[in-house]
Amino acid sequence: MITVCVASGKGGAGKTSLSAAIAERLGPSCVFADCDVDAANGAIALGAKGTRSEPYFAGPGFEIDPAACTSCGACRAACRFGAIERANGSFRVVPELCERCGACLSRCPAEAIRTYEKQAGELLVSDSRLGMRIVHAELEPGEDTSGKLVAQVRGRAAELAGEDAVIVVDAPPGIGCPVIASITGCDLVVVVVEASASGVRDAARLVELVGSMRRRAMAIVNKSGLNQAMDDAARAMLKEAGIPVAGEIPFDPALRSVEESNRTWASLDGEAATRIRSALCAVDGAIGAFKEKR
Amino acid sequence: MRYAVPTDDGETVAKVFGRASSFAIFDQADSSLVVHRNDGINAEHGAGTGAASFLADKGVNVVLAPEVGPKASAGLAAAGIEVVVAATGTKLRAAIDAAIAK
Amino acid sequence: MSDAGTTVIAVASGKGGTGKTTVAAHLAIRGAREMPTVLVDLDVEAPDASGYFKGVRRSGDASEVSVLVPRLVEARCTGCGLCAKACRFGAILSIGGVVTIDPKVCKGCGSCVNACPAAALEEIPMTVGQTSSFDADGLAMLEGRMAIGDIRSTAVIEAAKKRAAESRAALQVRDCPPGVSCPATHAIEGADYVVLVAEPTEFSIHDLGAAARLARGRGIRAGVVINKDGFGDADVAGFCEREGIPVIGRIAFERERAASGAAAELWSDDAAISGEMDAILARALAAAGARTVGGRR
Repeated sequence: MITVCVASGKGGAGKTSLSAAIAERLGPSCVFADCDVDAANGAIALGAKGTRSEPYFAGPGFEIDPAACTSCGACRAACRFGAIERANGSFRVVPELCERCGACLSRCPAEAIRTYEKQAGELLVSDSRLGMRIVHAELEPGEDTSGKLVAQVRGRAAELAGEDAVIVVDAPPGIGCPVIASITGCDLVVVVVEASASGVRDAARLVELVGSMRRRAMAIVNKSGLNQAMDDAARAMLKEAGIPVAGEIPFDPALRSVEESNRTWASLDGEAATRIRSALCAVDGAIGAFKEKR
Repeated sequence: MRYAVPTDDGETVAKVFGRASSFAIFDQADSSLVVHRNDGINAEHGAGTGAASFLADKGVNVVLAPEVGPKASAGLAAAGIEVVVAATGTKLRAAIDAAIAK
Repeated sequence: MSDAGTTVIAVASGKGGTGKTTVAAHLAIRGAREMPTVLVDLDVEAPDASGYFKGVRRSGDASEVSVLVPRLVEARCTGCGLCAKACRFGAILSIGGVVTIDPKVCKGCGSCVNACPAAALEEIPMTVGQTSSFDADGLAMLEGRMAIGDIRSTAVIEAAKKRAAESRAALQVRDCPPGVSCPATHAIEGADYVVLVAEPTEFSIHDLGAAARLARGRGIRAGVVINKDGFGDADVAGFCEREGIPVIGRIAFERERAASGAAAELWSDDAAISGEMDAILARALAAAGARTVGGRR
């Protein structure tokens, strides 16, 4: 089993489009682990259907028992996230705003606050119209993608994947806990660098994380051709970090409309498509090299 | 010296550290190898930190792992636990023997 | 109304890239022609609303936003470890009685301080971002910006909201973060109306549903603006009708508009857009129960 993680540091860089395309090329035997939960695009691009779901619990929720509450307001004063509002003469925790820190419970003099098993969302397994399985998730409003959720999505994907299968992990943006959980234990990280100021800057931080975790990496530069200075900056950053570039994809507005026409970037025609295909080829090659080693 | 190795199957080194299913702890004093379940798997955040704390409580001196995330790394450093690289899939005893030999 | 005479319109999207910031900027510009208006950029991880204006000048000071993180008072620490147990974010380690704190991971909730029986934890501010006010080509603007690499957006968003309230503008247009996770929910909270910007793609419809549910759950009226209308085939209007969300505006897709949007330029010379933005604003204000654009204060 080989795991490839596609990450970018920044949202909107084209990461999910590329991870879906990589999955299409790998075919029905691969498993797509969509860990970018806030943007369910990977699952949609691959045409998820026949979805089976199970509840996902992140951590305890907090609720105030109106019967025991003395309306002293200590909880509201203790909450630093504005998640407690007045309600019917008592107080109420607003689940969408609650950060689940427990400060309210620790301050309540009447022991009127208790924890409950709050369902944070759902862990989903679907079939793709292209044949592979997709493991993804949906979160309730106010809930964030966490290391735990990523671990569960990847864990389910690992259960579904056969011995020789490749798991494609679509990482969330950023470099926090959920990204760490996406990268950990991967055989290859594909870093998608958007050729813009923020894209290069965010990718650089990701590259640093990948390096500190000693993961093998290769990069794809996306949206090139808009700004020469940005293209150069992207290349320079990757060169300095010693990360091989699998390819450069030119900016092309047409690429965005693909997403909702039920196709991935692997099945396009045109100039950008050629570059995409060659970048994907390079990624394939790297994956193939891993397979041979096993 | 006590060595800890993350393991999912109880026989080989796991791919990850913080959210591995279990930790195998080897005590050089009596050559015992005990596998402890990792409850940190359920932690929403900071599984790495939790793992460091758990292992420190068990008197572990060295962790053998393929990689360790930044939070785990900081936690282990704070606990004074050394990290030695061991490849995923290596048999537990082999990894431990190799570390002792160093 | 949120506050004596202030109407707050939150512009959100469920999905990134739909044109939310562009719409927010235009609504604020149109609103400013009729009443004191402030554009509030709450997309604190990457605030980019100011990029739409050519002349952006600082007005007033940047204010630091901080969270209170714990610091150990060693002399009083008994090594009981209750602080580490109380922390749900893995920011405190207690090993063999020695307490280590990772301030970067700390959310500033104060649970550890509450848990300490020996008053051995004091709280010190740690900067997580800043709020700034600008004059953007004559429009009052306020921005919350989170420090690079930090994730404690809630504090920055709440600070920016507070500063916006102090500005006493008649109209507050909030540019919210995309999605419905923590930062977006805080940005929407307290608004009188939510303008949801969608585009005609399956992705957008999927995320639009979640955003609409969020607004409904918080008791805030919402309406949809269909941006890039004609660009894709997905039936946003049909979806809205089934879900009972009013469509309050449509902006047709045109290549020049897309190019300008990508370059963060306003559709200043587009009379059709100005008219549509006026209509959107009027509908939003009416639904929010405010005096409409053109009314007297």
